[in-house]
Amino acid sequence: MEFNVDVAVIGGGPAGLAAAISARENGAEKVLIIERDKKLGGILQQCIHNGFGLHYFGQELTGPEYASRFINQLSDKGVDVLLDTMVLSVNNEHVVGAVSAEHGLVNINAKSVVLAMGCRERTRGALNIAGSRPAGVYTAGCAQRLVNMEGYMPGSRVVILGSGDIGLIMARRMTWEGAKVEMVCELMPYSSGLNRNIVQCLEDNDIPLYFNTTVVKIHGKERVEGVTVASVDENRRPIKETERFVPCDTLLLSVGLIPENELTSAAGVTMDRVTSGAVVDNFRQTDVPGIFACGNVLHVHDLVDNVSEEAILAGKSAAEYALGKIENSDTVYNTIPGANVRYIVPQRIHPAEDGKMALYFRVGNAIKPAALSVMCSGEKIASRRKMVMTPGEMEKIEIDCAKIKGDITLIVEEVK
Amino acid sequence: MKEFVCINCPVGCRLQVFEESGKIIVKGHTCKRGETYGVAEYTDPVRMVTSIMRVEGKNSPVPCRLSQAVSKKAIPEVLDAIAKATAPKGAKQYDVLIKNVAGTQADVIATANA
Repeated sequence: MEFNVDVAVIGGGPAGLAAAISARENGAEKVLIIERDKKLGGILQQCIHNGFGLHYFGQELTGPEYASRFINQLSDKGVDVLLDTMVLSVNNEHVVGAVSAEHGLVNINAKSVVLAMGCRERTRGALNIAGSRPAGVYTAGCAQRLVNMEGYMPGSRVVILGSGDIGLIMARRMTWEGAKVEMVCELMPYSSGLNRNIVQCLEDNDIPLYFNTTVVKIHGKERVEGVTVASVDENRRPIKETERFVPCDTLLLSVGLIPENELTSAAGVTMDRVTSGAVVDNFRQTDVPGIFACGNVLHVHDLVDNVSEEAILAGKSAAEYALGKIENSDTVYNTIPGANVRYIVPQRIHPAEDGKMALYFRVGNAIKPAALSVMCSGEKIASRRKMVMTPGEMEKIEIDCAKIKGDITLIVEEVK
Repeated sequence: MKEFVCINCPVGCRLQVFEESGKIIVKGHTCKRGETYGVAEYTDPVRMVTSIMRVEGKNSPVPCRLSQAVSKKAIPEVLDAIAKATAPKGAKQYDVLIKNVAGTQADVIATANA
């Protein structure tokens, strides 16, 4: 089956939905979302807790509600959707190859492509935990889908490794559904999760959180029978003398997210080794003309509100490219992470005469209080102070385009 | 005296809350929101509850939440009522699934179509 479209959007999660709507609003005639699941909304559909949309909608929504705000607009805006369809390839001529039970092999000829495939969870294989291979080891997000969408309980006595927000949220969900959560172990001396989740998910339910602690072995043949946990030293190596056995039937892993970029690399797009996403410019265009990226496939976000904002920009740019309106000046400057800055998106910028441009970045470690400076050709073109900047929170700074005369360096320093 | 970590922003101020001559005093906060939070946590902490409810004739549940936050003490009873209830087949987003759940004045509302 053949489709000819202006903009093809790969992925129907929060990024894909907002990008598709934005592409239509900015003049693209035919916009098609290709989604591998049987329904739209992506990971939001399993995030039944509230706290989404405070920035974007000014109110606290649950995941399904946030998703429906966008899904409900699709038919009015005239966005087409292919569900239950898996994209297998994208090339630099914007041909998207996909397969579905309904249509068989599908070829989509697009004028531009928006990559919005999201990310994947790191699994047990990425951690090299010793022991056998029993049932009962899940990533936190997998357990979240089983409990909240499929209606299955993955276990009754649970240890959680990793104190990111998904792990914390699942500690409360499992408890509220009747399981006993024995503990949450965190390798680092701090949690990357929100204070709110530590208080409302763990403390409210009397679940202990152990820092500098990890799981070193999984026990059980058919089913998990317990795990060995140990404290770690300053080099994060387990200390033998501190090993102790914790009986449980389930281990949930909340140990990080990786952008899902197989399609991106195969299309010949240059990748950023820090974000594990594409290198993009201020239009969210990759270095393959007409291929754009947004959302967690570009860099892992902590707030869906920021994903929507980024996707609206990518969708607009993709529409303009399809209509031949995007003007790429030949001049390109780089954004360079300076002291304490881990990465910046976008990595490249095309200068413009007026307007403002937002840079998104993360710091490498907690800085309290923090002073941010944006340097360009030896001059400070923007600055800001903040009570605290932490690696778990994406930061944003707006700069005047008129002041950009060369490469930009971001520096974050502790205020003495 | 009770101690809390403020949840309003990533600073996470450590609050000390105590009563002095009939007044509730908050110490350790750095903004107004922290003070309000400290008083609420000391007197009657409230929480939003989100969960899932079984659906008549279906394997997959429907997600739900409360129409307003309830006292933390009421959470076990609220969860119990949700666990015992069944949503009608074809329930729509924002349908009320349980009115005035466990006498809290809050309704249980579907957050998606069943």
